This record gives sequence, C-alpha cells and structure tokens, in this order.
Amino acid sequence: MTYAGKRVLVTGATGFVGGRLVERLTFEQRAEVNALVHVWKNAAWLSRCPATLIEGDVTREASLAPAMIGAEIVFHCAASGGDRAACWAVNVDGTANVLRAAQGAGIRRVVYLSSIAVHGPRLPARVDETTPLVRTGVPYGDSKIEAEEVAGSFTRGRSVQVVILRPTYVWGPRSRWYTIEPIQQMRRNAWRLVDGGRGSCHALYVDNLVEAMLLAGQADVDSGEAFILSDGEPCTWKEFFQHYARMIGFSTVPSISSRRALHPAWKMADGLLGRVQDWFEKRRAGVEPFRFASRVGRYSIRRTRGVLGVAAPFVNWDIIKYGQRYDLDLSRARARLGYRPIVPRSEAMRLTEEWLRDQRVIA
Amino acid sequence: MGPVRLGIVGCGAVAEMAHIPAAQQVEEVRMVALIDTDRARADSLAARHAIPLVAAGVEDVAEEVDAVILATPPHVRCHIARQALERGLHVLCEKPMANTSDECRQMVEMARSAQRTLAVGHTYRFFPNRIRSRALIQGGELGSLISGKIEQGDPFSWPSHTFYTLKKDWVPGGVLFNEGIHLLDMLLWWFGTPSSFEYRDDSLGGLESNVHLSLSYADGSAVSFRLSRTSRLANRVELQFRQGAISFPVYDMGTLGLAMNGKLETLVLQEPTWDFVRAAAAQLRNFSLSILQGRPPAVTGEEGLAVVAFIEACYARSAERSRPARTPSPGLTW
Repeated sequence: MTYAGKRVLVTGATGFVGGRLVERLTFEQRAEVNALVHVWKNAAWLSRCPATLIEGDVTREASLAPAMIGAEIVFHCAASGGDRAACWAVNVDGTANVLRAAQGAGIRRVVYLSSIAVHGPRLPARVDETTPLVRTGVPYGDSKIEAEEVAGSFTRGRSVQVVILRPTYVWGPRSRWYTIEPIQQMRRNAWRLVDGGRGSCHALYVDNLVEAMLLAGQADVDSGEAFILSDGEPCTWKEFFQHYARMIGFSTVPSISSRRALHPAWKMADGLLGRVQDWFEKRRAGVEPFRFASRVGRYSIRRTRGVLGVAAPFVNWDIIKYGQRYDLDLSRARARLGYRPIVPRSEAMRLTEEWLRDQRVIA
Repeated sequence: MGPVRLGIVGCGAVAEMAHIPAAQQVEEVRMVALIDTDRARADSLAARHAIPLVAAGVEDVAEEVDAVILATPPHVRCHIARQALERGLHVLCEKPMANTSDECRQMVEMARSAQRTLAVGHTYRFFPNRIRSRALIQGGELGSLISGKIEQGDPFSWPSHTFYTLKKDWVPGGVLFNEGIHLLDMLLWWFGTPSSFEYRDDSLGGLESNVHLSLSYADGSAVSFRLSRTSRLANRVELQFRQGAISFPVYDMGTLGLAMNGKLETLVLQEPTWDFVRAAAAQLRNFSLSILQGRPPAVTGEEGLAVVAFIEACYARSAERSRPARTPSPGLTW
C-alpha cells in the first residue's frame, strides 16, 4: 500500500476521523491531499498538515468539483449526527453529491465511511456484513442506510468504485462521543454503565480505522462491498470504560438498569425531574437566599434521579446498544482488505491518556 | 499640524472590532478612509461608521490621508507599506509585522529613508498591567528573574473573514506566529533576547497548533511557554523573581497580582476594566503623537522585526528535528 505522490480528496477533513486520516496520509504516506473545509473555525487541527485546504460543502455539489481536480481517490468522511433534515442533507444527499462529482471528475474509487449504526441498536448474537440493515426511525441510522443505498446504486454501470466501511465505536484522541464525553461526564458523576456494563464492547481505535481506510483505498475488492471494522479486541463496556475511570482516579462507574431506563413510566418520572432540575439551573445565579435554595433543589433532584436509577446522558438507542451482547465477525475485512489492527488496545489507551493530559481534558 | 488624517487598509475582523472604534476615541486622529480590495465590505463598514472615503488601494487616497493602519493579512504588508511610505504616509502595521524578517528589514529601511513613522501593533504593550510590570522589573524592585511559566490557549475561535491564520500559503506559522507573538514580544520587551531556547511544536508540515517553548537567559533564569489553538490552557503569566512575583491572566489588561515584601495583593490599575478597543485607542494615540511630535512610537519597526526574527529561529529549530516513524498523536509536540 502506498499513497506517495498520489492525490486524494478527504471530505469531513476538519472532523475527528477525516482529520486523523489527513494527518497519516500527509505525514506517513506522503500523499497529496485535498482537504475539504466546510467550517474554517474547526480547521485548527487540520491546518497542522501540509494538505491543500479547499473550502466546500458536501451539500453543495458545485463546490466539490474544484476539490476533486487531479484526485484518484475520495475518502468521504463528512457526516452529520443532527436532526432529520441535517442527517438527510449531509449523509444522504451529501453522499449522492460526492459520488456524482466523483463520477464526473473521473475518480477511480470512493471510500465511504458508513457506520455500524446501519444494523440498528439491537444486534443478533453474531454480526457480520450480511446482518440485515434495520431502519428504526432514528435519523442518523436511517440516513446512513439510505446513504449506503445511494452508494450501492453507484456501483452499477459507473466507472467509479465504491467501498463502504462500517466502523463500530471510534475512540481515541479527539473522539468526542467515545472518549472525551464519557470522561467529562464521569468526572461530573453523570456517566453510567448499562446493566453493570456487561454488554459487548467492540470499540475501534481511530488509527486502526484509518489503517483500514488506507487499505480500502487500494485493495482489490468489488465495488459496493461493505466491511465491518473494530479493534478485534472484544471486551465488556465496563472493562472499556474502566480504563477511562482509572485515568481520572475513579475506581468504579455507577450503573443503570436498561429495563428501568427504557420503561415509559420511569422515563416520564425522570423527564419531569429533569425539567425541574433545568428550572433550578436557570436560577442558580440569583441572590441569597434563593441561590442557596436553588443549590439545595439541584442537589436533591440529582440525588433523587440517582436513586431512581435511570438518569444517564443517553438516548434509548445508547441504552439498548450498551446492553447488547454479541460477537462481531471481522473475517471479511481481514481477508479482503488485509486489515490488521496496528495499535493494540493497551497501547491505544496509553496514547489516548497521553493526549487527554496534553490537551487538558484530564488533569 | 491638525489631527492626523487616518486610513485603514484591510477591512477584516480587527479593523471592525478594534481599529475603527478606537479611532473614534482618539482626538488626535480623524478617520477619513477605508481601503480594501473587497469594495462591498469596505462600503458597508464606511457607511456604518460615517467614514467619507473608500478606495481599493493606498495610492487612491494618498493625498487625503497622512497615515495608514495596515490591518491586512501579513503577506501583503511589506508591499503596501512600501506604497504608503513612498507616498509620504506614516504606517502603523498590525502584528506580525510581515511574514519574514527579510520583509520586516525592508520595511524598517523604507521608513528610515522616507523619514516616516513605522509603528507595529503589539497592542498588549499598552495594557496597564504590562506597563506596570515592566516598570517594576526595570526598577529592580522585584530583583532578578528566577523562573516563569506562561500558558495561552483556547480552541480556535477568531472571527476572521479570510481565516488566513489557518492557511499555510498565507502565513509561515500557526499559533506562535499569530497568537503567541504578543506574549513573546512582551518577554523580549521585558527581558531582552534569551541566550538560548528549546522549541517544539505539533506541525506535521503545516502550521503549528501547539507549542512548547523554553527560554533561558544569561543569568540562569528560564521561562516556559505553552501555547495552544486546540485546548483551553491556564491563560496566565506567572513570573517568580528573587524579591517577589507577578502574575496576571493573559487577557486581563488592568489587574496585576503582586507578591512583594511578604505581601500578596491584587492591584487594580484601571477602572473600568479595559477592553481591546481601549487598548487599540492607546496604541493609536501613541502612534499619532509620535507623528505630531516627531518622536519614536512605543513599538518600533526594529522591535516588530526582532520578534518575527525570533519566531523564524524557532521554526528553523523545528525543521532540524528528525521525523518520528509513526504520525504523532494530534496536538502532541515532538
């Protein structure tokens, strides 16, 4: 595998995965990288790389053509986790725009970053690429399925090849959802394991994902093929989050029951308490004695929500996801892409902790 | 001579947020022209602030103005400074003075032969706590420096119009060149050139977003300096001297933590609290008085050159390093 001297385009280049991909493409691989920048303010990480930064937006097809000039491969990482309109505009229409522009520019291959979310939060005992795609009504997952279908439609009668990657839960330096947020919530005593953290954790360290992406850009695979990716070091979520707890000097992480947390009556009770808590939050800066009363109110509600055992920074999808026990089969990625995780979990945790301390996420 | 007739070249964020409102506070200047190649932007700012003239280039208003502020990105400052100085205009140049020390030298030379004022916009030098700190240091009341720790860092958020500070084809450096330059200038102003330094950054061939710099002085004292565009740091200056200590938040202008003679106190030097417009106004007043009274400005072209030259030396040190085999984690300096 070599990218030296090859020109590639990375969408979502200011983001977590796209940004790391650009770092490795430019620094290690010596590739010529066009990096699509949607919001300049977010480009402080990306600007460290000798890439060509090009302003563009996947939702505006015309803005993509200049970024594709001279490129052989497109790594399409741009995505939205927002509301339905944003998910459809970026994930579905944006992917269609990228593929049309790539076809028009004579791009050889598009590596499309999909998600394990296409299989839904409830998974069978054994998961591989043939596991059905499940629409749940949740915009992110549904839009990623729709985008895969758009990508699939581009494999017929077109010169551009599409490779679809379905990463699991991507963690490591700069991971908001699986590294920074859990640690920040843990420190505020707001993070929870689900059902004692017994669910299966098939997390994916960002450099292992980037390794798979680099392979996917050049591997001899069929257009439209999809690949599930993880670190290949399954553990429980408790074991995974315990690493973070240790980093901040916590010995345990409290747990909630998924049965309770998903039960409508408990959810409603917790929702009501949450609204009262918000009411107190808005009045925290008042004058004494109301300030003191607000503090007592907030404390009492926090404790009550804790006793109820349902309060957690999770939506239903997460509660189900963290409770699932299943095996993940990586044999297709291993056989067809030649994928081997390059950073073992222990080393990845060490690097992540070093980064978290350096960036003052943890003291 | 009446008030200095002032033009501002470059109608980006710093012109809008600092220089234009500052000019309205300084009675020694009269704001007469905005100059920008983006005519619509210049027209809109001029209309909002009742500025009579708008032009695309310095040459178009050379007869109508006595002095210009260069608030453009730095890669065009040398060129525009030449145009202005050749037409007899005085120049207040935003920091960094130019992209290279060579360009800075040319600007100093041009100003000397044109016999015009060339000032550099190291605005932090006008903060009351910086001025008092320097007086304490120079007066010897604190004794000699032992050590210092400086941190400046926030996730990037400057409301730029061009975002040139993130573009390697516009600027030679990242957080040190664009943000850290203020505090580096402060250290050069207070303690002179260090005898040696260590420099590391996180550039992978682009612009650095994280920096570790340690400065050592001939008397054995040392200052460590950490900068970031990606993480929130302490944003404090802490200096320990033989007979005391000073400390202040980086963005605070008017208070100074002072430990001296066994007493720890916070001096409030300015009421009400200063803002960047007040600081820019102090700078502009100093510039206009230096023109009207024929004396050097608070920050000369030579000083603007010195800090750019020091930053170049840092980058040269960085370029000497050997590359690690694997791409370092983002943000980690190596």
